[in-house]
Amino acid sequence: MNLFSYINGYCEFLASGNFPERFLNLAARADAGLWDIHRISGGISAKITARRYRKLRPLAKKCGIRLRIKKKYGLPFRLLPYRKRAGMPLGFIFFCGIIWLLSQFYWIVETPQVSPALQGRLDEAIYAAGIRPGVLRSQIDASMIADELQLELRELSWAGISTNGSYISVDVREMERLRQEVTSGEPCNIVAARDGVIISVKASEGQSEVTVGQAVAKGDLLINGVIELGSGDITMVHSHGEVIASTFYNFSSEISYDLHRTERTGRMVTIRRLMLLGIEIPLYFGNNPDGNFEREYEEWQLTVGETEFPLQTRTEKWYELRTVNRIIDPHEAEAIARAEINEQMNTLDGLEIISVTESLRHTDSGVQLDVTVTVKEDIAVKELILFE
Amino acid sequence: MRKKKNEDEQGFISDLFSTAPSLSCDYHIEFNDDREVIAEGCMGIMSCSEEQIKLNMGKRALLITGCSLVISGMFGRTVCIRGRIISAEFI
Repeated sequence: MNLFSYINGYCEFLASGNFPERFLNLAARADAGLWDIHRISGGISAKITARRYRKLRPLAKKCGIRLRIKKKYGLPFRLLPYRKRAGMPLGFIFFCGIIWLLSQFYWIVETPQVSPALQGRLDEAIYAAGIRPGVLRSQIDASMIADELQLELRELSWAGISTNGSYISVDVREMERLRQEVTSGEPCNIVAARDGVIISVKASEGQSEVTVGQAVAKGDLLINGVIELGSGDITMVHSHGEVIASTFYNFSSEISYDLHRTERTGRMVTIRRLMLLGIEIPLYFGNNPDGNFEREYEEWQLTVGETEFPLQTRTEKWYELRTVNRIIDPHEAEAIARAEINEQMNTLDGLEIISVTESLRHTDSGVQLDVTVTVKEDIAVKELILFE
Repeated sequence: MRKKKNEDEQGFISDLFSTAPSLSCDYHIEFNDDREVIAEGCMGIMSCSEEQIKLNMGKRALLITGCSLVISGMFGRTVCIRGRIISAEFI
């Protein structure tokens, strides 16, 4: 039996009579196409495709042979009991139709992870370009959308979109500043990383260009890597050294006497949604809560191995907020301002503070506190000597 | 003399063609090991059993002797016999 025979259907029959060989010869001449012919008691057994069985009847009658079907095989006979059930073929057609219809959409969208500052804008741009679960495949022009993303987001050096069936993937590359990293041995200068006043200079390699007490600006040359020898020749060295200077940091905080603060009331509403094939199905009764709420949500996506399916559940927690208005006195405003300044000054961890100068002003509407911190730090930073 | 030379030439030419293999044959029989035989040009089946199958090959009859013999296919003038073939005789 082969696939062709199975699809067309065939039957095994018995031909009983006195001269079955004659019947075989007539069947061969009539191109009946018998196979698996073997002798049994009283006759022969053979197989023939279902359509040709009728050809045998006149031949059997001619030879005085009696035909009897022993068994039927194949797909037509398997489907025969269902011939009165129109629902089955209709259901099969409907199933194929649904599969075809669903394959016309993109259901899984993979977006890239970029720096936090760019992520939100990139997600918005991708959504605005029309790339989302449930979008028609014919509506997506991958190359055009990639160009649009690059034009809209200047931070991108490259954008590309790849598709595979109902899966679409967006990939981007951010622009990176070219950093001239100085490796040991390469000729370099040492320049000032910040404005300041020189306290001490220790040049282990290179020639010092500043003196103690000298004021320098950011980028000024501190230790020169280009050294002129006594003979007039010039040599370039990898400058190395330490330049300690006093630098200044300014911090400011302005606090109004009319303090507005939002805080949670303690009331929480949990809402669940089902996202299926790009369609949002709410799993709750009623509308979204009205009022001032803060929302947190968790998402779960059906994943089998590494394949993500377009089925997600989202659990949203809505926390009710209230705004508290309070009038505070100048002492409290000053304390809040100082707390903010102290938090800002955490960036100076590790630096030696020389002095702190503050200026506090009370106005009609609030308090302004300005603090200038003088610290001692090493402002030496290496800069590659570029050759043209 | 000239007549004899012509007769000699014709005899040579006819001998030349008579020794060439015949390009037309009435039947073709092919054996695959001792398990299968395919006979083309079969005019009909004369007898059929598990031990012997006799085929009408036109000028001669072919008797296939063996055990568990089955006519695995019969299409037009081609017959395929399978089983354990012991001997094949032209009768």
